[in-house]
Amino acid sequence: MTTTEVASQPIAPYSNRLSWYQRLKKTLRDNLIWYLFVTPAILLIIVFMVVPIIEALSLATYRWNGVRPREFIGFENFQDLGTDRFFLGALQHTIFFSIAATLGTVTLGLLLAVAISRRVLGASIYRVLFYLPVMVPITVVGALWVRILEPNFGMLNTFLRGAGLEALAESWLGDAKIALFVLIGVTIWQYSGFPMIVLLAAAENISEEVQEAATLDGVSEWQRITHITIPLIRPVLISISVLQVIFSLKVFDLMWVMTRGGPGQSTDVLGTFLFDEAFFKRKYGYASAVAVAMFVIIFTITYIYQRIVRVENAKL
Amino acid sequence: MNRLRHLSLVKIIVVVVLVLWAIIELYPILFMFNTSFKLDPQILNEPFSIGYPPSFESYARVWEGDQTGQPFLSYFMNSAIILVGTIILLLVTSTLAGYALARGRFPGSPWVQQGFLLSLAVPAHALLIPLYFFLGNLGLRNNLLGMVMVYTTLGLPLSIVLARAYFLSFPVEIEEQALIDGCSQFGAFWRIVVPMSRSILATIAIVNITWVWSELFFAQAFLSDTDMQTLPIAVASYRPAQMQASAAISQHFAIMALTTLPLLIFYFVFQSHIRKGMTAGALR
Amino acid sequence: MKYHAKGLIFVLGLVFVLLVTGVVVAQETIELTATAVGVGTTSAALQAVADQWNADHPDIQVRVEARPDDVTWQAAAPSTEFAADDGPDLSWWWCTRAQSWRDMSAAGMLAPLDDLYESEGWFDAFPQGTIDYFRDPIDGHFYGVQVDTVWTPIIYYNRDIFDELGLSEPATWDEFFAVTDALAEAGYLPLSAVYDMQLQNHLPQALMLRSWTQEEYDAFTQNWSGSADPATFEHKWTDPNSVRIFEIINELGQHNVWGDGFQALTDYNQAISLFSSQAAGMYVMGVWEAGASMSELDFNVDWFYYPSIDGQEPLGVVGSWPANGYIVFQNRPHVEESKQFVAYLISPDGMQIYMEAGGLPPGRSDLPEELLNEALDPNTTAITGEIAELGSVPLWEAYVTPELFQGIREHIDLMLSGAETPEEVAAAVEALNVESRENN
Repeated sequence: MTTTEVASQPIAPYSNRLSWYQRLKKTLRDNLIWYLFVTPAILLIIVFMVVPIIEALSLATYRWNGVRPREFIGFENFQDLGTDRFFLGALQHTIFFSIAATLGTVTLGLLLAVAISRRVLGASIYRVLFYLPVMVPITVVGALWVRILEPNFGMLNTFLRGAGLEALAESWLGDAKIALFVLIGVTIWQYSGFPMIVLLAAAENISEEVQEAATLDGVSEWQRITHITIPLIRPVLISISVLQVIFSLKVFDLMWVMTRGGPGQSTDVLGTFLFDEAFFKRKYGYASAVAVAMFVIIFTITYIYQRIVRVENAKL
Repeated sequence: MNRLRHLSLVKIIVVVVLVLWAIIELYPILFMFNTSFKLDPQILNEPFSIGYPPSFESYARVWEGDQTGQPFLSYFMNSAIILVGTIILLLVTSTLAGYALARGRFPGSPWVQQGFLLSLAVPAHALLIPLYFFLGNLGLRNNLLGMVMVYTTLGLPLSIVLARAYFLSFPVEIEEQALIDGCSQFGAFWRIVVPMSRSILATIAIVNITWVWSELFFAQAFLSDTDMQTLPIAVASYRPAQMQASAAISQHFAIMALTTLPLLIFYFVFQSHIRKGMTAGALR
Repeated sequence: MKYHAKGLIFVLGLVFVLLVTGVVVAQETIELTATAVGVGTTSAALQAVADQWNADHPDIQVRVEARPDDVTWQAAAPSTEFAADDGPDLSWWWCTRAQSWRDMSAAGMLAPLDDLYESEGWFDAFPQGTIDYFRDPIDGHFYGVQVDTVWTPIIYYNRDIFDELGLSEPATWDEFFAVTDALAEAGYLPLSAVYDMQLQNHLPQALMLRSWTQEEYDAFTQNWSGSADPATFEHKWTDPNSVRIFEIINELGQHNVWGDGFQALTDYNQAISLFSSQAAGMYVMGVWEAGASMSELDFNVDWFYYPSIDGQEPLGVVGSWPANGYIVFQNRPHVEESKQFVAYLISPDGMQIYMEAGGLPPGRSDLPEELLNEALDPNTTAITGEIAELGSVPLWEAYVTPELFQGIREHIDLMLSGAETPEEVAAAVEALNVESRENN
């Protein structure tokens, strides 16, 4: 064919003229750098997370005490879980805890962030100070608060008695009715700094122009907060809330150090329940079933989170 | 005149509340340090007294480590090594992955992103039992490298989320300029973007540093040799010498204070960087 | 010729050196690894014995490795450290079912020590109860040996406070409540007790010894197993003598004997500090505190035991813990040498060293009194003497499965926070007991 004839024929794109194998090689070559970028992370997660999870899933179908040979029992562990009042109690406590703790930390964090962003007196100090408890290890936080909350000689009750508020001096960690609330309180104490910092950054990101326009329009502080600040930081608010929920569902350390799941199993959460079943009762198979249940619950919530994020991003 | 108008009642209440909250936030931490300077009888009988002159006896005993099986320094060094290793590995892997997810439009990228987000859902406890035996087979149990690997993996999901969000809001022009100037993709990343991203590096470090330093669950399960053990294990299994029933609480507080101090120091040094990192639209 | 002479000398010298090296190499040192818990004095005591042994036996060296707290380590070790081929050669261990001891022997992980029991005369050195305890119910072999013994619970009290208030050691439960009321009124915490260990664990077992008959005790230590004598199944936890145990605990709780918020007192340090700083009038714990802790206090300390119930003779004033022992592993290169070391450990010489460093009374009951007086502190020696007279019986928890043991603790916890009645606790424990028969 002549040159013109060749040129006038429509030329199929290069990639369509390759076999699937050659296309794969091309894709790899073009994007090699990106694959290399993500490989270390993927490798670590597959080796140290995915593989063990698969093992855990399978261990849940056995009865095993660690020494005797495993005994395959199918879904019996899961059936038992469904009727185990201690598991259901732990589940209840965990869900309650995570919702309450998230509400508490995020609300308080929001209030603090808003206050600081409006340059209230001492803002620059608060900014640094309020995140401080987040940096204290949980075991230390737990041990400190156990002493502060000790009913006979602890700081809180001694202070209340001294201030004439004897009636308020409860047995904070010893009363099954309030122990969980106390733990929620300690969590709020420790972790409200985290949402605060994030929301503060988001609030300060609101452009100057918007703020100035609002000032010119003569809005009150309250209106500014509710109609400008909060709506504009909504996406961050939602993200941080969901993250807090996810992390709270996995809580273990605080309960273990402060109350060991007591009193009367009132602060038993899924994490402590799992630990007890595995290491104190030597029911490794059963404990793995608990782990699977936890994973499913959190997995579901993460999925919902993603949905929400997608919806929010679509709105923007 | 204008000043007085702004000094509304609401503002005063807000300030009072903030100051109260600041006191409440600070008190337990100060209480810890204060108590570590006192001895038990004083601790129990005069809970509000100031520990002055400070008694360093408890710190001395803790340092000697006669009740923890190993001297304090051993636990401290193990924790420090694991911490440094984990943070470095985390920074490298999460920024690489986060950057790739933010910038790279490569096939499978939505799946990879999905995968990382779902790994957030994995409760660490679920991994304990299988990891125990798995690490044993790999010969990584009872050894600091194994802990670094495990901790890095546990910290990856959140760190990648943070890194990706950050890089999404990083101005593309800078890298484009670098590419035009003849830099490779990796070169652009390593030599241009990363040095300018100190705030996210600080943020990722700070977010992970506390839990890695104070992690107890996995450490206690995987590290059975006392000379491999970390600080949280020493704190948790601390028992008074049978000779020292009257110094039990004081020593406990001393060891807690020693565990917390490095974190607080780190925070005060790097806190301005963290704020900048959070400002750059993290968590969008 | 000179060259040849030099060469000859050189070769001879070389041969000589090789021979010597060969001899030395052939006499390779055997190294044994022994693990023991590091919290408390156990690994220190073992180390002391190992030091002496190592000095006397350059060819068999023992290395002691300390492990963290007793509970978590003992939970995981059987299936990991001990099961591995390169695990320790021998170990300190709680020889109870709950710590997988029977499972390990059934799996062939432990070396039988029958020959040592014979050759070392242990059949005469230990009380019959201990011999019976260590005999494996299935194959009749002995898979461990007791090293020291502890008794619990013992109520230590501040004699100065008692004198001040005109109180004396209570002999009945009514007197006991009178004492606690008087202490509370004077502003003291009556009884400082570590919640999980003492109240959920040792207290019910002390009451078992006071509420059950010998027949009931024998039954309940066996009837959790499906292969036990069916006659033992006649005894139930819902029987009056068993329910009585929970009722008494409940009564103690309602009488506020342990002060406010006692369920939060899980910190060992805090509990003992309350006593040592004279905020609490009494402190309940095992004999291991009798030594150094109680001797170091700046007030007078004495002790008594829980009262009997309705004048019924208790099976023992305290429960004994026969489980502190040593086990030797089977799949190891130097089993015989490990057994030799254990034999030395349990010998009078070894026990003297162990006691001096560990402070606990020995398991074997045939050691001369002067030895004990020399090695142990006066309080512990006194208690040892008392208990030899008054009697002790192995704690129920030494026999049962971990599930049953944890179950009773959970339900007592619920009862003490008002969620269950004593009858409900009894019913729940009976249900667990019956269920246990299916799996064991």
